[in-house]
Amino acid sequence: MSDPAASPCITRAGGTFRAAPWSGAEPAAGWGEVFAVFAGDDPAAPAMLGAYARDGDAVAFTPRFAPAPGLRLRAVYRPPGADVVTARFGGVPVPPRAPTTRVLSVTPSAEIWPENILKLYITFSAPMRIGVAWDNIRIKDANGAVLGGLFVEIDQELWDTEGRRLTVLFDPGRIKRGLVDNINEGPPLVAGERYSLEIDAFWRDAAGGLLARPFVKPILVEAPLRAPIDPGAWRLTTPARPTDPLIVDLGRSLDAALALRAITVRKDGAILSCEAELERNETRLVFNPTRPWTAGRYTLKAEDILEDVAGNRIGRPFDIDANDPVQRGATAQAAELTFEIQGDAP
Amino acid sequence: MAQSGDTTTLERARTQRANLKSASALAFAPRGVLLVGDGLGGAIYAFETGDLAKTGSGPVQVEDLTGKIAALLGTTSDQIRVPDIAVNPDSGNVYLAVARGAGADADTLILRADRSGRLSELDLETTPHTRVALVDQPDADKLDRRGNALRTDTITDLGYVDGKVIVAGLSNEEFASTLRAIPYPFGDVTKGASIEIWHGAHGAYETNAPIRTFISYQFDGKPEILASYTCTPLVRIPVAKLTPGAKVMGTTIAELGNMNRPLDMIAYSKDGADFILMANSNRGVMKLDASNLGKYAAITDKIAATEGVPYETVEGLQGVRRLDRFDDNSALAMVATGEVLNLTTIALP
Repeated sequence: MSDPAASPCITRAGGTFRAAPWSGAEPAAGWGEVFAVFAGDDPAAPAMLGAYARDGDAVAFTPRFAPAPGLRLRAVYRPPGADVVTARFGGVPVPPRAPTTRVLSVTPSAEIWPENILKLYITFSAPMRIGVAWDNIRIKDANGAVLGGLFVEIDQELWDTEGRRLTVLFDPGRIKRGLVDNINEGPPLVAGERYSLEIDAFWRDAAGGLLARPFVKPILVEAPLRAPIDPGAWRLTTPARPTDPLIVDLGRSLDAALALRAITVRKDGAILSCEAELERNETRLVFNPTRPWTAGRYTLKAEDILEDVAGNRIGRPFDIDANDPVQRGATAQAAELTFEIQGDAP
Repeated sequence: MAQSGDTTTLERARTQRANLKSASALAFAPRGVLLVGDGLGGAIYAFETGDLAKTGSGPVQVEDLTGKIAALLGTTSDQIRVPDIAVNPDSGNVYLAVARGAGADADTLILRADRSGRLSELDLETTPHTRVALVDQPDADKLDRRGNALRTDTITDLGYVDGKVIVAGLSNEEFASTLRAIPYPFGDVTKGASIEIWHGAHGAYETNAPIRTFISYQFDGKPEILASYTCTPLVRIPVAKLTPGAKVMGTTIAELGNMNRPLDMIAYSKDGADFILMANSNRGVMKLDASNLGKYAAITDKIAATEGVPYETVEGLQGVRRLDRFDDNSALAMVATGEVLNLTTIALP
């Protein structure tokens, strides 16, 4: 039982705050009426969410989330018939993290992009802060002027599950021919012009560190790429030895993510386990088999979701010209190429 | 409660915590059912909140929303994101999708603000829910060498329309424009049927057209969705056309100005006339005259920047990021003022 002579106090051990002494049941209005912990000193701020429990002669409070490091916490205990007790915890500033995170890659890797480029992938070496991408990515023209209205700036942003790879979509309203913005503003980037893509070092990673250095990529824009992908034009270099890779020259830069996911090597209908890599600015796909090739007939299969850097698919361009009898009604296709590996390769 | 006999699914869900990996879009279905779009988790959740009683009549006002949420969750406001808000029409309480943490591994939770602005958490442990998975892409769950799934869908909007949950999403890989229409209550399905939405640009060009935001709307007594693409115009799409595997062309009925992207919409009536309120990326909040929305012919020719449904820009409403219908006379708005986000109730103009 509580010692009536003990003076009220608040302690913190591990993740739990305790206010003592307390005797009796939970107040009608809830424990929050007598004991609350606040993040900071703002009198308008609500108390932290958490779970209360009676713990011997004390009221225990465990926050819903472990408070952020460096946060100054204020615990307030209002024992009935006694003075209010306030205690402060934490507030020791966290030293800034060394900037170690870098931009690992931007694809398309080429420094020459088609005018109707549809998307970029920016891959970082560590998970990044989400929600600030549009403040930290910019494209400047040859005079150094920042261009506005280039991207689909959705608040949610398009990240992978780890938060290391961001997809940046160019505004389709400016790429798609015939739309008001395409007619009045033109495409985001214009053939014949030079630009630079810049990623700010002030963009913090998810752990709070700045980028180790800003990222700059010079770009020259060339004519738009409007033809569908034609797998018939791909060149296959089949393995001469059982451990050699299969090399597929694609004739144009494909979407870096989709080329790795939507093109597979199969034998007897089953996907073969391979380490696939893109080379030469995503114009070449190299399949290293995890087990040596065996003799037989293989299929290289491309799914209908495959896109090039301008969103063209197999059998269907990004924007279909409905007045063109060939294009009208075109749909994206899957494609299969077959190749043989001769028996008893040396 | 969901009005279904599908008790198997509901019973199963009651016994386990909803493991939300993200929450990028919220909406209400009838009877207090909160729909949550979890793009990173590849799923739609329907929570039976049981929050059915009217809780008063006053407006809701929360100044410095991210600061308040940060205080509640023991962190700083730069660690808080609020991707979407939804008003429960039964109770008038406001539900907020919240991420606590800077990165993709942020904790996801649903908070509720009552009319006094008091914030509390929806208990994902005990609130009965059903879930439907969305993944239907080849190798969509393929992992990289670090065991990380690269492909994700971001759900940009969802809503309950005529017995279906309509889900608009954007992939971080293929430019696909799939819309899904999933019958609700969720039955014994593992994924929503996807529908390809197309946009016939003025002139001659047709393209896939991902939908960014939409609302349901009755045209001659038939449900349609009124949608904005990522490439901007306002289109009509009959709900009856949203069948699995369909390829649907939206009918453009308005052009809303150069370089402008709608962020959110609500429909309302005032003094016997119908309107749509639309928050935009660049052109503030627009009030569209919807009295004769069904009579606008499809815009098919190359045209000027504005045409079709007439609109006016509402003065004095800047920085509105999200909108929802609050009651007969007002809307709830999430408004960005500089770095600060406020939740406020505005009179319907």
